[in-house]
Amino acid sequence: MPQLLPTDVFFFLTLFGLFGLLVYSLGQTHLRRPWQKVFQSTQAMVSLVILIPYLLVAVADSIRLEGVLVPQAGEGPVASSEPLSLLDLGLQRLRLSVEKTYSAPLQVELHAREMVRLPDGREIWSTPRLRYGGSHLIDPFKERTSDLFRRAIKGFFKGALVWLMLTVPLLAMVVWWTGDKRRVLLDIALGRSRFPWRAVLLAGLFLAMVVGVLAEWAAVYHVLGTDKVGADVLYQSLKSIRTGILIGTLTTVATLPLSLLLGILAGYFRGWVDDVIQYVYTTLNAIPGVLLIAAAMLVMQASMARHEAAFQSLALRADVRLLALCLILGLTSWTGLCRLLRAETLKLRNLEYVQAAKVLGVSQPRILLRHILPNVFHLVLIAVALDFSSLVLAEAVLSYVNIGVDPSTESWGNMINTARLEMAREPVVWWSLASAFCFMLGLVLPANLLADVLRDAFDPRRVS
Amino acid sequence: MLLILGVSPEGAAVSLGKPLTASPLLSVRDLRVRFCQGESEVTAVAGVSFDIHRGECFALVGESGSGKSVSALSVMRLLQRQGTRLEGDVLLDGVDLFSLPEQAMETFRGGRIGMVFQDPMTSLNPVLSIGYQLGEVITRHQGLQGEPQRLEAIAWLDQVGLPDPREQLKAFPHQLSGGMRQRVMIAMALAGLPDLLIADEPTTALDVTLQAQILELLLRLQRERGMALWLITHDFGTVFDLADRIAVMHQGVLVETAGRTFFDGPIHPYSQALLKAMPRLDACFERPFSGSIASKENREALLSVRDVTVRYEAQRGLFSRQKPRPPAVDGVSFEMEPGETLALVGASGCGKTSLGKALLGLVPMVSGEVLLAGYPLSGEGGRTRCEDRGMLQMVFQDPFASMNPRMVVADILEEGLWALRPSMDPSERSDRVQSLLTAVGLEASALGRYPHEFSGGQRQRLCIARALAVEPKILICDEPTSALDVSVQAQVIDLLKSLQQRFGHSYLFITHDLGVVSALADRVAVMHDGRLVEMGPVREVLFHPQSPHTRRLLDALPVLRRGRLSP
Repeated sequence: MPQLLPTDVFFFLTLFGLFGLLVYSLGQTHLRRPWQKVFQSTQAMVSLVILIPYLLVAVADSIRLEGVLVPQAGEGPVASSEPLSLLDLGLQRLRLSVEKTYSAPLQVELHAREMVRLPDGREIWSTPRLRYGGSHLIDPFKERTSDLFRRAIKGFFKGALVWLMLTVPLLAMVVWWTGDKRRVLLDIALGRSRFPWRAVLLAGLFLAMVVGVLAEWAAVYHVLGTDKVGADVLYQSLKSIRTGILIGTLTTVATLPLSLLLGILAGYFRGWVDDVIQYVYTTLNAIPGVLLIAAAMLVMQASMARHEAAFQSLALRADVRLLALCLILGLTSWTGLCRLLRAETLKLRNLEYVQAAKVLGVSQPRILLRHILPNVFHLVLIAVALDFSSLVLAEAVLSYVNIGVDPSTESWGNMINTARLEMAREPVVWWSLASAFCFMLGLVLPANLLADVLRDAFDPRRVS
Repeated sequence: MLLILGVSPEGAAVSLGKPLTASPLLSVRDLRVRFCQGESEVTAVAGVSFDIHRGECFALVGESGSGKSVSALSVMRLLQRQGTRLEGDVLLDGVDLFSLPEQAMETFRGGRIGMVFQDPMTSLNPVLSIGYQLGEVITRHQGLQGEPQRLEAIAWLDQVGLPDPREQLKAFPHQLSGGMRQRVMIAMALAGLPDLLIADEPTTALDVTLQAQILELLLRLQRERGMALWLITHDFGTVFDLADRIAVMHQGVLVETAGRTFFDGPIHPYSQALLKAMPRLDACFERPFSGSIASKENREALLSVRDVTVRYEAQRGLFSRQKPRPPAVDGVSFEMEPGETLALVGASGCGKTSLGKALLGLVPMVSGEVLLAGYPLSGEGGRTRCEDRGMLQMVFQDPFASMNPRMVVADILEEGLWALRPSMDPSERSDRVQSLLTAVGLEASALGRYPHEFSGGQRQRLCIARALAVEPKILICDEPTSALDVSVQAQVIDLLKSLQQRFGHSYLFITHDLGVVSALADRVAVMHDGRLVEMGPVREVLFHPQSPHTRRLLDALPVLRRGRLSP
């Protein structure tokens, strides 16, 4: 039985909305050219090659099934008590192979020494073997390196094979579509094609190989180690992708109606409307954002506690908290775009085509919809792309000060938060922090690069 | 103080090394400029050759896009755009400018060649004082510091006719008017003691009454200093007043180069057409005199404006106080008849545009009454705003800003019908738009295109069609031709005339150009400081002006454009 949590609903609605917007804007002549620029940019397309897998993971993690049969240690399969996402099912092994406590990446033993009772009854101070990680090895000290190497090679080729299986039909389609076989392939090989095929395919190959190696290792090791309660860090990092992307997209969607409406109204009507809106956002800006979010989250938690009956499962409670966080972040971060839109509208309202529309007796709402909105839309697009990455980072900061997502929700912020205490340990536990950092970088850096290209393409002032 | 001008080390060196023969100061040979972007390539200048001698004024005349400014910028090596290809030889006093290293070129720029740009608003740095910006040039090119530098700066401001130059040194650009700023720009260009001054449309951005003064100043300085002046302009009036030699540029090539004899009869057909298209003051004699004045009593006024006052307030706000400002329009009254053309003229800032916008309801009136066909336009008892607005329409000045870039032409033209005649049949609507498009001389294929695909003149045609779509009784035209090239200007004026004959609407024509007035108007109203100072039939006002303000406007018109019958 599929089950939908509130954030899933909003996430899918947002995705459909974005897709619709893309299709719509590709149909508009004045927007098609900037899009062409984006599609011909190597930077943007390589960024997309990395962003799309992230998105796919997030989607896979948002489709949940209830009552799935889960293999239980020692017994037969048992129906799981909570709904599991497709990602959980795909990563069943990672999810269930829980160690006792910390272990370093790709290790076969626990991180810290502890008392181990030997079969003969003696107790010694040593690092015991892991229950799952590398448990197939008989003599790990001799075999581990060669096993890792062998698996890496295997993963490498598996990745390449998958890439080939995807690339060949794709190229065949391109060739079939354009006709001249030789020239098209030569152009792609030399990087001369208009769409940056070569860069995209090479980025895809790189990605496929990295994923191949990781997957091959993850089958028997903890690639990124385990955390305090022995959960696999790679699994946590992958689960965090959904949280990060959700906060990035849902929050932006939450800011848009406010900033669009208020910004355009303030700029167009000026006078007291402008005054009121300006005072609202200057006041809002004067309050420290973290304070506001902390207060709102506390209120939200209190009201959730009061209406306990409505939130029966833990998952639902964590999910509502995530949604609330998105809304609160959205309500506190709309001012930047609002300011931009107000300034642009101030400029547009004095342009002659707006005046001409007034003279022609066109109604105010129609002027706002047909003359102002389409002409500020590039700003919205640019702001959304730029805000996305800053919001992903904001989540990490908020979780760090404990007002972010629910502690039971996997997120990069929570990973950093739990890892920060362990930084003082000797030997240091670094992998939680490092994994969160790498996964965040992998999402935010391409998102920023893509945003740069989008801004260049859609900002009319940059058009030569 | 003028003595200081002569003491320039660079100037002395130049005069020593200069051969005494009459070799040209600037010699341009086969200049070619191409802009490449990706695979497309645009040729801006296609093989231009000319000489400029010492002490002469050379005018390069052409319409927009003819490549005249690009030629000047490429001579200065200021075209730093990517994908620009420069070819040809440019010799200044025998030195090849194109092969100079950039560092040496920097001393040439401002030092040997000065340049005055079109817009004085943007060519001065707003956060530095006039004295600082002028002093910088003097220090750089004359090596003066401290007190001598200050004296030199004062001398230059005095030279360009800025009142009270000592005080003006401390002024910032925003404290000066447009004309004063252009004078400062000229002082800065001259302070480097250049042999050649390039003036790129030096008066285009200025008010009519100032244009004559600036041209006079340029001419005086050129004669006094004996330098060469390279004037770039689209206006034959300016050329006639200043130039010793004239070159006409068209689509990147020089079609004709001639001396003063040019004005007796240009040889090339393009120059002939250009000269002919220029609206002259005597144009009103070439068309039948409209005798509507005689029968005035019998006819009912279409529009009667009574005592209209418009005042712009400082922005109203919940917490901001209001400061009263002098009114932009101060008690103006006039009447218009069906089918007549009334020209509203005046220098910039006289309130003519404000009056037009007030009639349309774009700007609120403080007091006064406007009756359209006997009914009040605003206030109680008036008909619905919707209908009023259809009867008054407007054509704007800037054809590039007056259409929404995100809408196709069909939507733009139909917009007024959607708003004012919502019950109209779709097929009828598209028929109306089609026939209007033909009426303004465009093809039906234009309907599916976006505004940026049209030239300035075509866009102005579309704007006229958009306004006419709702069948207005009065069309208010706010400088509809001032942003257009001369030849296009003439076409638009002809179009306006023929449309009036066909549809019988009236024009309220707002302009500063008396030549256009003469070509189009039946009556003229002159405004000054928000008040009507003179009003009457076009021949009376233009040739027997009563008000000193009218006379000043007429004096500002270049000699060439005054025509044969000038008073």
